[in-house]
Amino acid sequence: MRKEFALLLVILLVLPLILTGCKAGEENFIFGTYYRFELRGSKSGAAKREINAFLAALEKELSTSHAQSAVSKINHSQKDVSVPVPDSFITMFKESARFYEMTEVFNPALFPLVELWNFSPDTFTGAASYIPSAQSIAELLPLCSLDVFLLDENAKTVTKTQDGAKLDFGGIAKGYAVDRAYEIAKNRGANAVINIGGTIKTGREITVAVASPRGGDYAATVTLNNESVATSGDYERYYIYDGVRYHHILAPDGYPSGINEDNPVISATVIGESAMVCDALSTTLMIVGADKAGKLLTAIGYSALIIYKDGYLIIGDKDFEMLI
Amino acid sequence: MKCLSEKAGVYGHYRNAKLFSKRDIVILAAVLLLAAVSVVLLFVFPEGSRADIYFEGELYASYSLNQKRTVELNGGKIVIEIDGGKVAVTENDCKDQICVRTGYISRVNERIVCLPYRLTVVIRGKGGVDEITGGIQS
Repeated sequence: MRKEFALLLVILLVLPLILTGCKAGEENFIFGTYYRFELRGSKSGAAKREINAFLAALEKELSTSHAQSAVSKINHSQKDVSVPVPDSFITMFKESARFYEMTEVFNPALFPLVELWNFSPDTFTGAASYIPSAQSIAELLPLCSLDVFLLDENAKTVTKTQDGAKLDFGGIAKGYAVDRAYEIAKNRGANAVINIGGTIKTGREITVAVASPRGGDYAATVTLNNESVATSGDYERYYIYDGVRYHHILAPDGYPSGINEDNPVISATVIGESAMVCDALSTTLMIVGADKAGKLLTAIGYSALIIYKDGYLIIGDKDFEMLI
Repeated sequence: MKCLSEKAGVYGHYRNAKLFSKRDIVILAAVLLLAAVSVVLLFVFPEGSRADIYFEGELYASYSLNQKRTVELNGGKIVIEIDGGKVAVTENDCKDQICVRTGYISRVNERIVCLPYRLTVVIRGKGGVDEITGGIQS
């Protein structure tokens, strides 16, 4: 009788703890932006530690702001010097090349121009006292090509053939990190929702709001389950100079995308299986718009919400609940 | 070596005491009641929205949005105001001032971030969306 009583007592005391579930979560910073994730499952604690360690290591390897990262070393190296690079760099390099081939505009070698426009993490201040001249842009354009970088996969080195060439994997690094972190959680049997700077992947049904490009209420909401979403916009990193908005997503001509158009794309949200693909294609959509990218999206079964200065367009099957 | 029978005498009191006295029943009832109440509270009472403040990457505090409050961090160089169900970083000595320019937030999962201080102010609560895609990058 007493033993049963004691057992009942223990169960009742432990019940609240059990009912709150096995969860683990994190809220921190990476790649100059926030990240957060929520894990559910018995191995959540272990998965959380592994994800945090992976993200910290990735930032050390790929961040343009970390002086010791492989990307920084390449960017500051002289031409014809072979720089050793980690596997993550090789993956980013090859995936970027793949996306460039797929889209013809996705280009991580535009970094010298990004810096010229003062949109790099170290130069951005939210304001500008000048705009780069057409000549300074023209001078840098030839450098801004992946062809300038030679990857030796066996030796695991990268060599640039021109001084001043620079890389930045910002267009797919978040998506890649989200995909990998999600995989880590999955390998530990944990159900995950991972969000790095607004690029999200989820293993359960969640409601996601699309931020409005011009502030105020959300632009739309959408339900996701076992898929990813990424958004690019002209409001994420921009300044206004002489009444004109200049933003950080550059087109192949070296100018912010849509700057001379009457009705430019101001925000692009892509939904699909891979966060990295969503990341790359949301940037691509900003630059080329729906006409060119629409077929590509549909071919791989991805959806998108494209918001223009006036109006919006939805591509694919996802049900966006529009609020604008 | 002490005589065993003497030792038995010291413990003999406890062996003779009632195993389950009235006091024990009262304590047990109180503990069970507490356990039951905590289970109920988890499910019945919805949380009001709160502002979770992370500073230098660690959770610094979590405040209800219902109470007007001024939070100062980093020796008063960072000022966070909570008022009328909204929260904002009203002052900061960081270079870019992105956090300050974000203004007031009030919806669940909206956040204000300041990278140099690894400061995050994020709204938690029931209802609202689970995640937000797009937004200001620091």
